[in-house]
Amino acid sequence: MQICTITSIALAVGANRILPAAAIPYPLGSPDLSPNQEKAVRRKLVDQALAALQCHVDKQTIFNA
Amino acid sequence: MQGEEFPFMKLELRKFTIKDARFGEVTGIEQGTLVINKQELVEFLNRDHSFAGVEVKLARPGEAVRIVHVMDAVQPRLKLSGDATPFPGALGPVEIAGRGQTNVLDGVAVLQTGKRQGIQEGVVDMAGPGADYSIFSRTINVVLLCTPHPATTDVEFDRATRKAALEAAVYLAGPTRPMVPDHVEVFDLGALENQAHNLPRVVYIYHLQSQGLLRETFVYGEHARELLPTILHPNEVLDGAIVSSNYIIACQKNPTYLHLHNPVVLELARRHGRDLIFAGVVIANEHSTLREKERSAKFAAKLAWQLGAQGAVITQEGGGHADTDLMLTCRECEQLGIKTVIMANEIAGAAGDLPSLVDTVPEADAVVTTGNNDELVSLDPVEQVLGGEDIAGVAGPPDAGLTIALGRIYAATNQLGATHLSIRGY
Repeated sequence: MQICTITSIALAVGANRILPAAAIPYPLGSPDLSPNQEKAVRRKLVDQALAALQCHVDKQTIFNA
Repeated sequence: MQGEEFPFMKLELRKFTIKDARFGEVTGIEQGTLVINKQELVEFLNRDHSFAGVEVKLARPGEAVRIVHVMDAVQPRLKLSGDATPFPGALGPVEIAGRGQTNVLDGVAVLQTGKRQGIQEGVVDMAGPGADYSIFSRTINVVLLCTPHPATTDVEFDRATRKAALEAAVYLAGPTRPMVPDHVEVFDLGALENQAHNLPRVVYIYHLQSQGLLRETFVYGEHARELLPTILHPNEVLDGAIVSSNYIIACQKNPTYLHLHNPVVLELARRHGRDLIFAGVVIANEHSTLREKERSAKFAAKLAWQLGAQGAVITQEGGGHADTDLMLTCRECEQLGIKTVIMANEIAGAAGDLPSLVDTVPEADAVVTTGNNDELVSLDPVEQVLGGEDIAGVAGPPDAGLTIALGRIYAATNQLGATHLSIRGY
């Protein structure tokens, strides 16, 4: 499971499950948000990643963030 | 300005060949020697007390000198018309670059040095085996070391040091104003859009590093990251429209000096009308989100198509996820029927046997490599070190013999192709 901004690179290195992230300098946050809003974004992404981990995949899969 | 003598986008680079440099009482050019009044230059650069200190040193090719913490390189230049500067927008008012007369100190570079937060510094050896790898081992270097006041922020210091390097460049070329150049190169490509030739139309897609502070490029003084890809006339590139503020990975950045001397622009301009039509330069971004990368690539390819391109040369600046910018632009062009050649360096491990790029597309089937960052090179000990007292990440005295990755040597694998090394297969 890889949370990754540039999903083509995650595909290239062979990640099975890929969740698109926000940006390279801040994959799980955003400088435009307040700390509380940022935490909510981060929590949502981590929850989605944990859910993706429980999905069966039979090929490299990009999940929708 | 000069009316008939100078059509709108005709550029004269008036070159003064400089063979040596020394400090002296009056700044000027004496029979090919650049003479610098050091105190006057220091007082000029620090007239607003922006810095705790400014040092100016000289380094000539062949001297046992190592320059460390190299941040940017700029060529001394002077614009002869009006109030324009040779770096419009970045220094002084915005005027369209690429027109009129520009005086150039050929063979000289101003090197800005000093520490920055979280960057990867450049090393230049003026002699020994390290000197084979950087084109700045072959220039006479005026080395600036500006030190910040304790309260100066990174943003303020970056702005001040960039301004100081550009001002030093204009100061050093100042005495050439009344002088006759040794050589004049004229760039008069005519109205590029109206050429009725049967030659193939080629555009240059020029990715500019634009990921944020200290990884930024300025176009007419504004952040490249704010741009949607746009079109420049080749002369604008050669005449100071683009100024670097990118301090990441020393070997693979495009210093201001090399924007002015972009080998791809020079080669396409010189071949314009001979075996191709140089249909224009498209500057594109290198962003830090996938959405912006896709937007930049699609717009760059669309602009190339609008220019009637049959072929495109594409360069990048930097590595890692900048490979994605390169590949997306390549794919978008190929899908529009524009054949591409891309230029990139490699991050392939010390033995050169690891994957060179982190991202690839099948459409990228014509690739020019500018070298492997991870190749190890051995540098001789030197007698003097300029630009700082240590080399980040290297233990021991900075004047010692060193074995370091090519990645540490300034502009060693420059992705515009500004190197002296090539490889030949037998």
